Amino acid sequence: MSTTATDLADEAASDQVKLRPVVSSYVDITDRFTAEAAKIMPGQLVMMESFELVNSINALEIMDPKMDTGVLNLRSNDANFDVSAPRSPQEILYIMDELFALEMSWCTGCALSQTIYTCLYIEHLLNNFNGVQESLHFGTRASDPPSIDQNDLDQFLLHHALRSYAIGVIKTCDLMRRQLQCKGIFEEEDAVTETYGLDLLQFVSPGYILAVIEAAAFQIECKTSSSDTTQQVLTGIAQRLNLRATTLRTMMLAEAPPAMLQQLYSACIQMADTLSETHELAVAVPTAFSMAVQGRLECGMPPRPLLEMPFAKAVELYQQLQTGMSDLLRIHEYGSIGDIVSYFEHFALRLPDELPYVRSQLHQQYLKDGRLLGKTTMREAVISDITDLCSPMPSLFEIPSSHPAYAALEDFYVQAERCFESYLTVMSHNKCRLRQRLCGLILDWNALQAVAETIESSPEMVQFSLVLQGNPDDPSGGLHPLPLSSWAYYRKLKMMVWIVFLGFELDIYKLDEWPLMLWYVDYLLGITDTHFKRLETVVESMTALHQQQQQQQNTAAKKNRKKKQPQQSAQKLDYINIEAVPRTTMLLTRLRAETEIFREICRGYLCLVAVLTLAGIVNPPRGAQTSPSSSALRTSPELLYRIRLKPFGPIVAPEVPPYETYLQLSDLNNWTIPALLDNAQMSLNGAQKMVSQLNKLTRPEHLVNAKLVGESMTKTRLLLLRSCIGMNVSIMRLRQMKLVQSDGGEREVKRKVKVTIEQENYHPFFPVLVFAENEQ
Amino acid sequence: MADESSSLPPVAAYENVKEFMSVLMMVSTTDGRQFCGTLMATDRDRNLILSEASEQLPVGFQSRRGDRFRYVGMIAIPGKHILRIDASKDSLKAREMLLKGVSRGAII
Repeated sequence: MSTTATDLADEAASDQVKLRPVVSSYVDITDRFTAEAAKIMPGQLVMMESFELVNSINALEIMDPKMDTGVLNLRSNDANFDVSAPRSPQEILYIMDELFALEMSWCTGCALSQTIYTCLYIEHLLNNFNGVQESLHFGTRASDPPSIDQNDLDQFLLHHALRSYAIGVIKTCDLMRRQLQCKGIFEEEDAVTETYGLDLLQFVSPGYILAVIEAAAFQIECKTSSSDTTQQVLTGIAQRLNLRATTLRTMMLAEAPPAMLQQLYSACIQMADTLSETHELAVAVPTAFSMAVQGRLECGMPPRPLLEMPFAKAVELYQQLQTGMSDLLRIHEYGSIGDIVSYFEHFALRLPDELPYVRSQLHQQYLKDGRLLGKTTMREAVISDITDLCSPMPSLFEIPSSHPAYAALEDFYVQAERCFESYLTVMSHNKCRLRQRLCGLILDWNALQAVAETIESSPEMVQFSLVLQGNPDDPSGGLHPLPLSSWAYYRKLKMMVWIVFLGFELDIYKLDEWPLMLWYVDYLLGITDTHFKRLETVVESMTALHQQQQQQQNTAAKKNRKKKQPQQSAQKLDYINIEAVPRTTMLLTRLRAETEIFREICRGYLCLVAVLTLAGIVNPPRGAQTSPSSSALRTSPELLYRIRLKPFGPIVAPEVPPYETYLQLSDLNNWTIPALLDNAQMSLNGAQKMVSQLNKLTRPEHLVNAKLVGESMTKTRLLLLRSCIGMNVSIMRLRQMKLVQSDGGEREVKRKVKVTIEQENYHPFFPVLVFAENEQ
Repeated sequence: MADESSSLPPVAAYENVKEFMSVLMMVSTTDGRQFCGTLMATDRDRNLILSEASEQLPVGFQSRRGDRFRYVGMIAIPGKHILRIDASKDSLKAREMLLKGVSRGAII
């Protein structure tokens, strides 16, 4: 083994290193071990029986500065930093603002070791803390609080203002951390709740900390300074303490009446605005923050950089957090259960994504113990959702236990509750997880639909599955209401459409896969539309049947009155939940319109992508014909088709069409580029018109289940319009380019067109393709 | 048999180092730190893999952490940085008994 310069340095150092004496329970085996190890063959590893080399992947290499956090600690000057040294008001302001920025970094998913733990003041407080709140001070020993001269401003600011602020930050993180450890939030992805063995004042009452912060803020407000700048800084420090106190209060009063919380959140947002006025007065104390803290934490991780964000960005994030929390309170204003469900759905698709803490609160506060708002059971939510969609006979949900189908229906409802709860739970996930979980959920809903179909086709359910008249041409022998399976089918279709569109939003599909995915989502939307049409027909037929029976009963009652016969008790009209019909009709109209808009845009996109394919700008995935090697099989179009549609493979209805069908339907042989561009433009213009018409439906009765999301829907439609307009501009650009049809990719397209996908300011489901010409 | 065994790699040569496997060790490095953990693997250059290891700072080093041990998890210590290796007597004895038991075919 060659001796390197480092080795020599190490050897030299080793002579001077003072080692601890051998403990009596240990024995020095250096020589014995060295001798035995020397017998090992070169390149051979001797391992414990149960150990495998793969286990050592996470092992940290000691003395390697990139891996060993201990080296950071040994080389740092942190030990010389005196936390009890007096600090000027400007420096205190700096430390507070840095802590604020680091805290917001943590809120966006960074580790504590890279954020607030890097503050040496925080480290000192946490090291001093022995479970007793009095030990939270900047003194050397936990049991020995420093004596403070109240008249010395610098000392006062350090030991009161900064101390209480830092304790407030720790407690806020503690309260948030506990909320983040919930089902809807993913460790390491959304948030890092690891505390590295330190106690974040878990058992210190937030009330005590609030009192300490408020007392400090009050005292500072009473202090005056002859210098204008110092006075401004003091005001800034008091503002920061007040903001911290209000933030803490919002977290303590999570169960308080919404109106009160709303005021607190608004106050937080307003107060945060004032921070930037004084931020510029801060004087930096860079030594108060050190990455070497990681070398002193119980942490089996390599060193990670300190993650701070610009102060303005931190304030923006803080306001986003409080706005998100304040927005959640609107759920209490719901009119129907459907409003809450719509809120959850819109929340999941919001842009920008809500912060993990807000998402955790949606799950913790509004889906508490499997109940919406802690009171509406999942059964009620399911019944309401089914009623809104199909207005079935009310007796369907009140079947007596003596009914032969009771047990089967009960099983269905239990399964439906579970599925619906999972559906609402995934709405608080991050977008990637949302898509992933939806892929799993559609299987559950597929099974639920199968159960519903079995129940609804069973002879016991004959009273609920009457054959509706008016459809003599129906080959299946008439139209059945099938409310349960229709509902499960609708929900499943909606999730499937989301999966594909989220694929576009998350940039999962490459441009050459766009034709396939657009074609597939168009197919799904077509089926959804047919399903809505069917539901509308069912509701119409049932309503007609109901009215017919009502007329008959009225006539019979009149006859009885004329004959002065005792009036017979009216037969219960139980074809349909007639009171729910207007809501269902409005809901179906809106859903159909939305589906149609999506479909039109999809068709527009499909035509445009077809143009790109015809012009040779986008090459369809090459098949085995072009390169018959075994590796080419991995990229064969059929395999790509199967891989991309794999999540939908196990779904029985709608089944994934065979590859041949796709080939047949996506054949572009009879199309020309100008015709396709015309078609694309027509579809997009059509969609635009429909969006404008839909926007005019603003009366409350038009907005079924949209009371809480009216504003969000308007924004979404605006983005849809932007996408349409953006794509129209792209179409014009393509027309100007006068593209010619490529002859199958053999000849190079003379003009190279650069395609970029733009997502910002457009509807997330419909990113806009922007074309630029590269002359060669 | 004798011929066969002579053609095999000299397994028995490093058999003795196995007696240190899974033994609790205190490894002192050239910077004065000590790492206490269970030996999982080693090689000819005395590169050690310790699991569930903790770190103690050098004697007299001023740190904000104080004198406490710090958990660092699984670590690999390059042989060139090792100054001294101490083994827990109890752990050595337990390992010895285990190896004897295995060689006798006993189930422990």
